[in-house]
Amino acid sequence: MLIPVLAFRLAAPVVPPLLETPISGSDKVGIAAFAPLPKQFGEKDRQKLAVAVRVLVDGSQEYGRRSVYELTNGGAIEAALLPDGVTIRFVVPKESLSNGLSLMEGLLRRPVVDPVTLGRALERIQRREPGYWAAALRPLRNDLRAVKPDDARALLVRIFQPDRTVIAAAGGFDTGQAQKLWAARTADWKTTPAPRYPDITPTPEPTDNPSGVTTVELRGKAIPLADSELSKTWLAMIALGVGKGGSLFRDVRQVEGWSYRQEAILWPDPAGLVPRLVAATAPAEDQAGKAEALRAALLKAVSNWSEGDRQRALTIARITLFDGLPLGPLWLSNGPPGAREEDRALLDAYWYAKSTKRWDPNRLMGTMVDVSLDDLKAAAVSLLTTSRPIVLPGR
Amino acid sequence: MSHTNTPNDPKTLRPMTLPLLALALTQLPAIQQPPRLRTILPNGATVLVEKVPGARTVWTRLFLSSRGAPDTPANHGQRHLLEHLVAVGQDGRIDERLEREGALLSAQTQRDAIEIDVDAPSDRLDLALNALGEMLRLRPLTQDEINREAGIILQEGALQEVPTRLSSAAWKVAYGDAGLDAYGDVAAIRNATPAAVAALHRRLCAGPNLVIVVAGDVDLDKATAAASAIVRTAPKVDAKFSSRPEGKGGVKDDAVGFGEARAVPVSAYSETKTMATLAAAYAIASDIEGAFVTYTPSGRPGLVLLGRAGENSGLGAQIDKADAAALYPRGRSIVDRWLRGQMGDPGASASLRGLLLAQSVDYSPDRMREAINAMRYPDFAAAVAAFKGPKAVAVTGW
Repeated sequence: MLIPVLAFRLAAPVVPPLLETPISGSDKVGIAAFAPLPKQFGEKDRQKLAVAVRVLVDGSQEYGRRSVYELTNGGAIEAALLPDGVTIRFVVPKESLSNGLSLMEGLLRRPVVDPVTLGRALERIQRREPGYWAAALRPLRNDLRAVKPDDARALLVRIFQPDRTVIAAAGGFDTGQAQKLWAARTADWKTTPAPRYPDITPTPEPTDNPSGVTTVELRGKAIPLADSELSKTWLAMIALGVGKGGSLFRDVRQVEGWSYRQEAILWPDPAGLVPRLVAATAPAEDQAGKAEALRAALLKAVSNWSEGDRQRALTIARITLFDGLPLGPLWLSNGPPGAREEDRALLDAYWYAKSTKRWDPNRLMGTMVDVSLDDLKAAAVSLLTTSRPIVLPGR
Repeated sequence: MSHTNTPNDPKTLRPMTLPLLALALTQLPAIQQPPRLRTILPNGATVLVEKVPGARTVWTRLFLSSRGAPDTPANHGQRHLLEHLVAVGQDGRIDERLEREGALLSAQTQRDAIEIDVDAPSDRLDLALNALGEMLRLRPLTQDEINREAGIILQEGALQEVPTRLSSAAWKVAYGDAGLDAYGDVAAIRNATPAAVAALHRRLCAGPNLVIVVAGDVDLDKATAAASAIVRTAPKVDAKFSSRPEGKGGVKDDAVGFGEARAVPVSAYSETKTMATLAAAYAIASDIEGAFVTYTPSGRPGLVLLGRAGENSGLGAQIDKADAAALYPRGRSIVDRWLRGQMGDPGASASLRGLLLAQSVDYSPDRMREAINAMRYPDFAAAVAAFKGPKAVAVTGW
């Protein structure tokens, strides 16, 4: 009797969670979803999924491009494949909460996957849509010339499983309102079995940067979102390279002069958030030693940090966490989340999916203020000394 | 100091202070201030303050107009260099000081002006204005500092996005040396000396070239007085913008830009024809996946550019089959939405107003609104045709 019961369980409908953040006074509702990648997910599937995800911006079977334009009041659907999952976000007027949730449900369950939308998706990838900096941060190649609609559809179904996908709404609505609407729309959503033999092709380590710029990087180890040390690393990353008062700008760019843009980033990863200190530079000869030079310059800068550096980091943390200034270090989708309702919704969905805890800026900030200058310096030194040096020449 | 009103902008009219009226108003609980106040100082500097009730941020902008300091092949990019050199403040650590207080500084150079922005918590207008004041004083520079900054500008070039690259190429076709980009030429930048940079700074910081815009939950009179104090001692000089000839069409097929663009030379931002061209560009772009539109409002001849990145963009073919009649309602709607979006965001609105004031004290976004309202189908159809005709600039990059 065990097998039939198990089969019944697999086929039973599962209502994916919807997290609510009502925002008093807001006249919009941001709606976002995050679906983590399966544990076994190979490079061939990743390349196909990168294309498939781009069809989501064309809407669902019920809401085409024109309807999306009208529903979002001239906005657009943002969909991205991150290293650890797929994100979708958009914003609607608060009066359109119900239709907005219908759009999200359609995107997750009934996207428009056909040769036309896939053709457009391939074009978007070919045009390097994210821009030089975003492309430089993720120097992946995508050699696909075509993706079959069936393959793309199957991949999206595999990713958007109701028991793994987290949806969030933030903005002008009452508590319980969005959850009720969502439950009604997804009551019949069932999980589907995972493929018996999934693609496990490993993703090759990049050897160059197809964005055309050379990236010089120090990359740390992933920190789980629930790790108590995260807040200390977060603050150290701000002190190192968020804002132009950070050491990357002040002590590397303005002293060394070999990079125009440089940032400290907490990068999404299946294992948590990866600290990355990245400087972009024009391709030139003899750049292999730049990462060690970066490490030496930053270690020297950290040794000179004062209470002022700690205060600056705390202020930047406050204005990013509470005022939503999109400065970083957290990088989701195509950049740091900002103050928009859809950004807040994405943070909610992402954080919960990765930690089973609600996004709580108060808790994060509360632990940051307890970090002393000595602790901050120690965290930065530890980060710098254990980071892996990576130089990817621009092509 | 003299308060002046923009004749075509009733929102800037200040209450009359007739004695009887003043007496009557004392019976009211409070005198409501107008939303915006423009002030022109005796030295020609302009201060504009806009009230944004309830705002938690105060947005401040300083513009150094390029009036009297045109970019030429010999000095191309030295304004950009100057922007880099002043934006770090007197001690090179202004960002650190501002960020500690929750304020952020950014700067950019455009053809018509250098813009320096400081966004601060709403109760720190003093902090923001002091920072802008630092930009008006140039610290002693060494040749080494200039050389290092020139190297950083070279690095900046490596990160230029496709729209910027294609736009530079299109401007060069349309206007030649009268349309040089704001980024500059690295060789000309490297030729800069401390004396040349100091002289340029003096020219740009003359009274008539200075504009400060403040937007936030501030008292108009107090904020105007505080902003005026920063720019009132600048010398008054006579200077004019260099003339820019009418743009011409042409082709460049070897631009550095990885894509394709069509651009139409336009006259002043306040012309109906210009807004119709912008509406046409937006409407055509809305039918082309990933297309972008660039236009910087200017009182001088400019360029509305429609572009697309990619190896085989197919942009030209799609433009050539654009149907003006079908696109007209959408074009109107999008350009209207674009302007409303700009004006609805206090920071963006302050930037747009400041950029226009840096060109003339009479310029304002309201003229764009009027030009959009005046647009009719024949204007739009002519604009769509212009993207297809010989007066357009066609640029292709690799």
